[in-house]
Amino acid sequence: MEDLSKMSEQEKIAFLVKQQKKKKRRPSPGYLFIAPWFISYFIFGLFPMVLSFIMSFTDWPVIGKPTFVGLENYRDLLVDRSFHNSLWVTIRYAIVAVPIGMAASFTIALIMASKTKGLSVYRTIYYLPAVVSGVAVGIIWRWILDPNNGLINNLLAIIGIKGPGWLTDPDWVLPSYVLMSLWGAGAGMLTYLVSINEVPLDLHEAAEIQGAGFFKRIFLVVIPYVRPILYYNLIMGIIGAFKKFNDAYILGGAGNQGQFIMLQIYDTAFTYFKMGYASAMSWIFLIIVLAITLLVFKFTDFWKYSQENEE
Amino acid sequence: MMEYKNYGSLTMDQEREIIEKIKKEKYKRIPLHKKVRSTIKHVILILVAISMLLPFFWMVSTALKTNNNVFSIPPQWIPRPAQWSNFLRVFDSIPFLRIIFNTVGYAAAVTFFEVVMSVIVAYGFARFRFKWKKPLFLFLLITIMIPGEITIVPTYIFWAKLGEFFDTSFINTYIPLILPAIGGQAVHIFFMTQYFRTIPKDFTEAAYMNGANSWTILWKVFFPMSIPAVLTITISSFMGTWNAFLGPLIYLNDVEKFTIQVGLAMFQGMFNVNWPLLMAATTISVIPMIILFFSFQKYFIPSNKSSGVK
Repeated sequence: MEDLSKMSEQEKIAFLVKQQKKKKRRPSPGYLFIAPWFISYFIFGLFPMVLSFIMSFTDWPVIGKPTFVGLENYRDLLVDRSFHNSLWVTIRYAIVAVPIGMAASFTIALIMASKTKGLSVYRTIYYLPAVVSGVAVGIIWRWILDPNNGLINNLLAIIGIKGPGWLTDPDWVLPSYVLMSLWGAGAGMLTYLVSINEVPLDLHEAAEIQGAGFFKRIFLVVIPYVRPILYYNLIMGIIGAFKKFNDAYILGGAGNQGQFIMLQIYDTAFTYFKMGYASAMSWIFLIIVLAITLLVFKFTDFWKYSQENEE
Repeated sequence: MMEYKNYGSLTMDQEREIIEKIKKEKYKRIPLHKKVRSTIKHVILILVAISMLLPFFWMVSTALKTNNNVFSIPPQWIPRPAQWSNFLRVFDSIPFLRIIFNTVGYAAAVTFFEVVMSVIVAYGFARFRFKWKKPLFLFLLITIMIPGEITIVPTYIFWAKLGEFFDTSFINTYIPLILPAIGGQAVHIFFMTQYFRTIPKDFTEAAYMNGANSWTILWKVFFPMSIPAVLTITISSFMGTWNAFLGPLIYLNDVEKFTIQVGLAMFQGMFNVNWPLLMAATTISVIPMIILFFSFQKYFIPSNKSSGVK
């Protein structure tokens, strides 16, 4: 260590400048802090993804040697009826269930947004179903939707309606899944409530002065203001449909109408042990999800938030 | 004060009384349509609340029925006599205690890694300036959108081959389930970064003056100041792991090693029509999450006051 007090003024300056330069050359310790996530993502995220890409061009049984088959897996997917069915089931669910769930929860959030007595009680109750995920939801709903002794058909019987066969009737499988998704919609509803409450009051007042009624205010003030979160939830909901596995595994559905894409991939890989073929399916899945992700970045300012408060 | 003189003949009490009366009148007159509106609102909200709660009620009610009661028409809403022994029978049918113990251990390990590492990585993003920060952070955000599910097949092969390489087997162990958590979790990192950025720079500078290095500042300044955010990600990690199904389903083969979700799935295969027992097991799996929810409610429910991430 040099002793600063013994140096002349010029020496001091020279020394400090040198030190300053040294400092600049050293890489920021920030890299050290963020390294763990990137390393683990490369090993457990990116590497498997690359491996999956390679696997999708092979015939890869669990036991035995993989063989390279070129584009054969993808060609087979083009004519694979059950794969088309699972894609259709998934996309149809995304198109039907996601907007219905959003509309319902947004409406309830709007109702709650005006001054409501007992708001915290409602909030607690509405959030509760979101706490239960995993396998339990599927099991509970299998019993609720039981055609003979289930909760819903029992309730319908009270008012004299003979309920449908739900999961045992191919036509009623989709509505069953929609009902289930509505049960868990409370958590999303509360995020809407938060953003609705963030709409500045002056916007409301300005609209009111100009003679906008309740509904006009919702469509012209509230919805444009919370639009980013609506887009974001729409797209995450669609991705959620593609990830849907637990319920599909537990509930299934008559006529393969509950065969969501994730379940199809799981069955192909771990029931029929066609690893290469399942990888090709995963890549179709990934391409669709990536396309949706691009939409997120195009339409929402989701990631812009991250750049606020920058040092 | 000037106005007061105009009402000079009234005492304060009289004045208050009049104001009260006017208020009451006002309340009576205006709200009729408002009252109707408010009533309709609450009717809707209560109906929704009931439909949110009914499945829970149906689950517990079924768990307390005998096998015959389940199929009675019209249904028994409150079973008599309540069959509390169903809950004990669950533990006799499969090693449920062992399974719960596994799940707690698994969830604790994953939660520990995810929370500690996410805090460290988030600190790196929030408090340092470096060249590639923006693109790297953007990369992290993009990965949030890519579901990990798509790599289940190659990841399985990866662990199987790695096991062969080391002359052992990672299949049917918890290693493939816990190790990927070791770098933290992207959503948590994003959340913590946002939170750390709100901490004023003065705190850091004061600590630097006292000779603390960045590592000390993280744990002595940032961490204690971020307890609410840390709790939020802790709870979310724990619940996510408790409810995880696909991973444990793929990697675990022995009943003795199952997590509660895989156990439940197997249970439903075994006792396909034994609804009371199945519902009792389901109730047991759900109760810890509900207790957690009621103890830490404010960390679950998004509200305007505590929105760390807007």
